[in-house]
Amino acid sequence: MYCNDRLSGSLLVLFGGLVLWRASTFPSLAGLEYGPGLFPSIAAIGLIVCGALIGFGSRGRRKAPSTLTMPPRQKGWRMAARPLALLIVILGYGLLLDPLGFHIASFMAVSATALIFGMRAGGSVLLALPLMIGVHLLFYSLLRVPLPWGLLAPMAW
Amino acid sequence: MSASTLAALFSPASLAVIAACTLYGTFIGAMPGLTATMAVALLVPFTYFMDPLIAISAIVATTTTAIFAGDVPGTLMRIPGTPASAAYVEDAYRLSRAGRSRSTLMVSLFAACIGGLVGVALLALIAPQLARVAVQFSSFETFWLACLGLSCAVLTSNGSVAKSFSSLFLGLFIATIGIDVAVGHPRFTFGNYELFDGISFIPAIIGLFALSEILRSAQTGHRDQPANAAQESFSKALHEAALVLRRFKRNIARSSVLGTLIGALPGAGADIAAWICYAISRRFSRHPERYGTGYIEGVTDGGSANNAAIGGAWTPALVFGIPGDSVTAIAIGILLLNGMSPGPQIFTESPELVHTLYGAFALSNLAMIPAGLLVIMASSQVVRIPRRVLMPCVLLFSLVGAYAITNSVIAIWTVLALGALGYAMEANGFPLAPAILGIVLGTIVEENFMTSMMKAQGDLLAFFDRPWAAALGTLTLLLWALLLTRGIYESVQRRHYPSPSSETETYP
Repeated sequence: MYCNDRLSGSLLVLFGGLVLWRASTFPSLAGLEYGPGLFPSIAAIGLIVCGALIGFGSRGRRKAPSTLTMPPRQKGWRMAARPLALLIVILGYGLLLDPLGFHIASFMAVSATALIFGMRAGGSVLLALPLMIGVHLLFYSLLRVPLPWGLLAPMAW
Repeated sequence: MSASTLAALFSPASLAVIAACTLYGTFIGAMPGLTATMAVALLVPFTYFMDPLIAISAIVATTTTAIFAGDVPGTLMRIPGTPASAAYVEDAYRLSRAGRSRSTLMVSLFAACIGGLVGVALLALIAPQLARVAVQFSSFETFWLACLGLSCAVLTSNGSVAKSFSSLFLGLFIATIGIDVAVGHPRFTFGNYELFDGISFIPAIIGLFALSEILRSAQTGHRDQPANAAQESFSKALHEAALVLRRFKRNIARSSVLGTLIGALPGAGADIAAWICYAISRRFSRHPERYGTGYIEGVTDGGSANNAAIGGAWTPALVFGIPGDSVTAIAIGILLLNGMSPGPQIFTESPELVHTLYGAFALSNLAMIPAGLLVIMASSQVVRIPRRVLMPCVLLFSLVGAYAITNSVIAIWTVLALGALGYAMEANGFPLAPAILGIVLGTIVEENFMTSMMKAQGDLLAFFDRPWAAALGTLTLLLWALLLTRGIYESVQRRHYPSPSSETETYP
């Protein structure tokens, strides 16, 4: 997920341009020259200017100190693949939450996440089952959040 | 305080509720992604069954401890438990990685307690005077106030000015998603009705702060144990915390007072108080260059300011019925349900409520000390939990916590999208904090700008017509000029002294 500044700057300029184009189609307020498009346009112009400065300004730049104490990122496709795999797990969770229900989807998501973080299959099941039950008790039973039952709807209480 | 108020406050039921809510607030605040506002929102169904006086104590105890406990995951895992801890999370986290997590948390606990007590003392002393000023604020003043908050976000962040501003503008863009305030035109919703209300704040902060952290943790590999597993002994941490508190007692006093005042302004809550006090602390510090690199001074300021702001936020809520923050907005709703309408008359009609509020604040700030020490001692266990166990738990809590806010899958998509964005931003040296402030304040800025423009019929000079608006506006413009100068200075300096490491990655 590394990009250099030229790429991230260009992406910001491109994105700002898209927002600006879209905002220009918004209607304006009666009697004023602006309306719903004003603030998106301000944000878009800001993004274009900053993106241009980042991507095409002077090449010397300060090191960002924000995450220097983090453990070093590990290189190699296996490590780069793990955040991607996590994003796919969450995508699947969102897609399957309603059809399969909270319990099955959460069980699958937690096991998959534990596997991605390097846990063995048996351990991931041992983690996912009590965690799913605990979250059910806390959010569904205690806090009355209407978690979807999905496939398990016949046994819902 | 009358004898009957004291009797009500120290009744077994009231004390039990305060104790329970202290523990509840500590737990919710310490869970990454669960905010103090959410803790109070989830408490609302239970308060239906309580006496209004006890309900108020419950809310006060929950917010007080949740705001402090938000520092725990912030310090240990760099995931602020509540937005109010975000201002100094970088310093606290780096201190914790240097093996000083317990003393850092104790500093923030005691600073929070002092801040909270100063906050309620000031609330009791100057509430009417302060609220008289705040209530005169119209959309013009609120607009400038929100602009000031936004500028502080850029001022406090550590990255390059262009990257901080990009992050801010991304946040402002996210804030514009949904139905617009002026004419009701849907913006960037692409026909999705669930986006008409805009991006919900809590799923957004869970995505930006929690998921991006989980993603990064996945990339750093599971074999390396967190370096901050080593912690000081309890007595050593206590000793060190006492030294820090003595050294920075002026900072704590300044930020407690300032935090209360900022909290009293409508719309500005604990998070903005922490940001502004952190920025001011840095400005007046002898070592401004050490801020953001693991320096305790900013923690004392932010930690006391955010708890002081909780008391301050009740000032306009009590005196004029204008919520100072989202928590007091919920509290006003509970009071109304119980047949009490907050406003100037509440001081004469039900003084016992006002006095109970003061008492509950004092009690819960004291109850926070043992509960906080307990959580600080247990926090080492949190650190020792291996990441392969902890991260799936945090992920599920984050997803379900986000879902609980909207009761729809849109929260999961928000977490996913903003998590990926936050991860990509951090990988390229863009600070996240300006984005989150842009999301919160963007709506406030736009609403008040549009309202003001409709009132003034498009006359921009109206923003300087009223005395308070003129003062706040001038201050904001001065700050913008300062930021612009800094940006120009930065680029000129770069041209003369190109950094030797300029072409290398921003990560080791």
